[in-house]
Amino acid sequence: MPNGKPPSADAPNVPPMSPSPPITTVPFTDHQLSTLKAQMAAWKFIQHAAPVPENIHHAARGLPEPAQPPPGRFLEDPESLEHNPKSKIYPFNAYMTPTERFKDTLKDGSGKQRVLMPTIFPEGLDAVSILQERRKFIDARIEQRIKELGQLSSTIPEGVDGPPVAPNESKKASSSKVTFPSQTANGKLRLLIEQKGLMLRHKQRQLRQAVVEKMILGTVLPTERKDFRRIRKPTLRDARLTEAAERKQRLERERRAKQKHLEYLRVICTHGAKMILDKRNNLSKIQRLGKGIAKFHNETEKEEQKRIERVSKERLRALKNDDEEAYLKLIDTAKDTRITHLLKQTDSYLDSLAQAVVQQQAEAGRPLAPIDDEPLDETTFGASRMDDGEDKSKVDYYRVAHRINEKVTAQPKILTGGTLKEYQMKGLQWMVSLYNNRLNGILADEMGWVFLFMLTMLRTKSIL
Amino acid sequence: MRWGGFSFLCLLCSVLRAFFSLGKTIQTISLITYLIERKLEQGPYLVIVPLSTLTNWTLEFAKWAPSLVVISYKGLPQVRRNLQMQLRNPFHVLLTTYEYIIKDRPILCKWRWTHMIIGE
Repeated sequence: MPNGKPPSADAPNVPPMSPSPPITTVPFTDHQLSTLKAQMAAWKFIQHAAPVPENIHHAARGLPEPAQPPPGRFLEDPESLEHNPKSKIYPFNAYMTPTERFKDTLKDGSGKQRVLMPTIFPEGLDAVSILQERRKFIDARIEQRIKELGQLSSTIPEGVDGPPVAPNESKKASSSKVTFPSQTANGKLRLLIEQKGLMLRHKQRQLRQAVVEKMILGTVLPTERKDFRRIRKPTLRDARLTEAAERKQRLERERRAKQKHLEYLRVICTHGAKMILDKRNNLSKIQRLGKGIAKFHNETEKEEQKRIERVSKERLRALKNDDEEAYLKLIDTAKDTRITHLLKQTDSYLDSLAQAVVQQQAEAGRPLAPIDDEPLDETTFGASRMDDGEDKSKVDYYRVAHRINEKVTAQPKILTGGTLKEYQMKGLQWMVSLYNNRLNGILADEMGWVFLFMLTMLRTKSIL
Repeated sequence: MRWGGFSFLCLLCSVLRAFFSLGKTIQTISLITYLIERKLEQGPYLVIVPLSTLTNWTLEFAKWAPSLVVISYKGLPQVRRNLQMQLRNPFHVLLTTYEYIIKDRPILCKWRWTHMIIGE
């Protein structure tokens, strides 16, 4: 149809590359106008994929075409705006078609040598848009047909045959063993079926798509294992195992946390115990020190006591042995002033006694016997000297009192029943000396002092 | 030595150390025997001791100096009268106690004692 357009109607048919022309000043003739209108109407019909009515068809054809070859799209039109000096864009046409450039060469040659200019590709067909157009067309037709059928089916009564079909097809049908009903039978039904089938096109589309997808899957190479792996279905046993594993993990976690906590507590406790132990050790150390000191003090005290005891024992021993000197010494060391005092008094008494004895002997008229050659002192009677023996100034009591010296060596014969001991012999000697020197005496021990006291009492009371 | 008088002034005060059971009895007896034997002092000795020790003294005399004539003056008055009879015979030692000395002083005064020994 576009080919059938008159060249005069080319004005709106501007090639798309050139800029859109401004409103043309070229007027249409009446014939052209009517032709244009008819063409527009026909176009509308075509758009809706509907058959174009005949009159419009005829009208759209218009005048017979001139013998001019239809100008190609890329052939320059000298009357176009670019070349029209009167148009506004004349000198400013920046676009120069390649053919213009090669016009000279084309004219020179016979046209056989075609210059291949790869940049002049014909504008190709847009496949996508074509497809879309086709789809739209088809959809429009289907819709139209459905509408048609809807209208038709309501009018056609049942049992009427449909429109005749080409004989070829009817022959095919009858050649098979199965006898199909003729194509034209059951017209209404057929129309209904057709209508329903058309209305199901969407569903069909989906079905086809699904089939294709699955078919693709079937043809695809198994490049990815993941897609073909069979996933193990989780069974109850698996769930139980998972649960058990989870429980175990939880328990483990808890146990670890508890262990940590216990460890922490234990560290604290041990530290505390260690501290207590250290303190106790310190305390015991100090206690031991104190005890050691106390012990030391005790021991020194005991030793002091022992020393004192020893001294007193020695003193007593010295007393036993009549060691006056040592006794006095020990007495002094023992710092017992009472005993020292007593001893001093005893000495003084002895002196007075000696004097008294001398006096008495003088009164008695006894011839003073010369002092024996042997010096007499208490050692004769078994006692030991207490003084130094150098002090001869004072009257020696023993010498005075026991002027007459008689040794007793043998036990009297009539004394039977035993033997006298050494000290007893000495005592005997002393008593004999008493007798010789006309003295009285007391042989006594500690009890004797009590006895002396008693006698003194008696004497004072003039009983004796 | 005067009877009835006891001169403390002539006392020999030196303490002859004599602890317990060192035999003062024995020493006394030995003195008496010595005097009798060596000094020929036969004269009666008066020994006054506590009553409790009288028996002991008697035994000791019997043991150590059996040859001495010792009379223990004690007992009831009747007994003592008999002893007094016995005293008319010569004897060495009269062993008695304080009480009897005091009681029978007039009787005992008759003898002239050479030595008196007082025990305790």
